Amino acid sequence: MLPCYCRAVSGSATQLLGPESGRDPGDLDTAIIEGLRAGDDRAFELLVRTYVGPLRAVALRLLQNQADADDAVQEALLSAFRGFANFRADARLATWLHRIVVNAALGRLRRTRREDEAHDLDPLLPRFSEAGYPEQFHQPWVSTIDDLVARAETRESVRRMIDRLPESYRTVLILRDIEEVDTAEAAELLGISTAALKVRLHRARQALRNLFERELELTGKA
Amino acid sequence: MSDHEHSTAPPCGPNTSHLTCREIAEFLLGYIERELDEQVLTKFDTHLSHCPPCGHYLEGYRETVELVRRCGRAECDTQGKPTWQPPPEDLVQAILRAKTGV
Repeated sequence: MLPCYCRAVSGSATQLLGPESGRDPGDLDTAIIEGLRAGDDRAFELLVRTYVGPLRAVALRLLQNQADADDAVQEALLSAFRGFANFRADARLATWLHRIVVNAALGRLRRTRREDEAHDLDPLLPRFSEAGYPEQFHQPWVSTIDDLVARAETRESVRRMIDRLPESYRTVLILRDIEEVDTAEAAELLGISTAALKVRLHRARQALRNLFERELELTGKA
Repeated sequence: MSDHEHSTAPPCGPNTSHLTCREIAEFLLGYIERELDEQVLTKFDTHLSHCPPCGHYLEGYRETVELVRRCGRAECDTQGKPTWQPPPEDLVQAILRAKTGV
C-alpha cells in the first residue's frame, strides 16, 4: 500500500540500522519500531526520512495542493509519534502510517468541503430511455490498456480527469482504486455506510469511463 | 438521486423475467464484485450474451478501473514502480522541529 522510501535515509538516523543491515524495509521498520519504543530520538528522524516521500504522494493525491499535503504529512507524522503506543506489533508500519495520513488529509478536506456538489456528476452518467434502452450504444475501445499506460501524456490525462470528479466521488475512487483501501475501511474513514460508498464508487467509475472514452478517443471517434 | 435513495440491489423479483440495459449499467458493481444472488447473476449473464453494447460497456468499465489503478499514482512509472525524488529537507527539518514541541 505504501512503499518504503529507503533511499533518503542518511545521517545519524541510519546508525540505528547497525552495520549488518542491508537497509531493506524490514530492517528499517524494525529499527524505527524498536527505537521509538526505546525513546530514541533518532528513530523518529528515521521514520520521517523513510516515509515522508510516500506519505506526501498519498496526501497530495487527496488534497491536490502541495502545501496542504505537506501540512497533512507533518500532522500525520506527529500524530503517529504521539500515538505510537497504539501501534500493534503484528501490523505493518507502512499500512499504519498510510491510514494516519489518509485520515489527516480527509480531515483537511472535510474542513474545506464545498457544499452542493452532489449533482455535478449527473451529466457524465449513462442515459437511458423510459424503457431502459441506452441513448448511446457502446462500442469496444480501440486501444489496449498497456498501450495507454505506456504513454506519459495519457497517464497525466487520466490523473487530470480523476481530479475533475466532484470531491465526494474523487475521494472514494482514490481510496478504493488507487490506495487499495477495502470497502469497509474506506467507508469508516469517510464516515459513510458501505452501501453509500459502493454507490459513489460505481458512479465515479461510470463517469470516468465516459470521460476516458470521450477525451482519450477510445472508440476511434474524435 | 441521493446515495440513500439508490438501492444497491437490482429490482429482480420473481415476476421480472429479464434485466434492461439500464439495470445492467446500474448494478454492474455488484456483478463485478460477485455480490449478486444466483438468480440475478443468471439474468445478467443472459443479457450480456445477447447484448454486445452492454458487453462493451462492462469491458470499458473494467478497463476504466485498470487505467485508474495503473495511472493514478503520479509518483510511479509505467511498471508501477515509485520514482521518488528526495523530499525537501526543509519539510523534514520542520517536522523534526515540531516534534520537539510534542
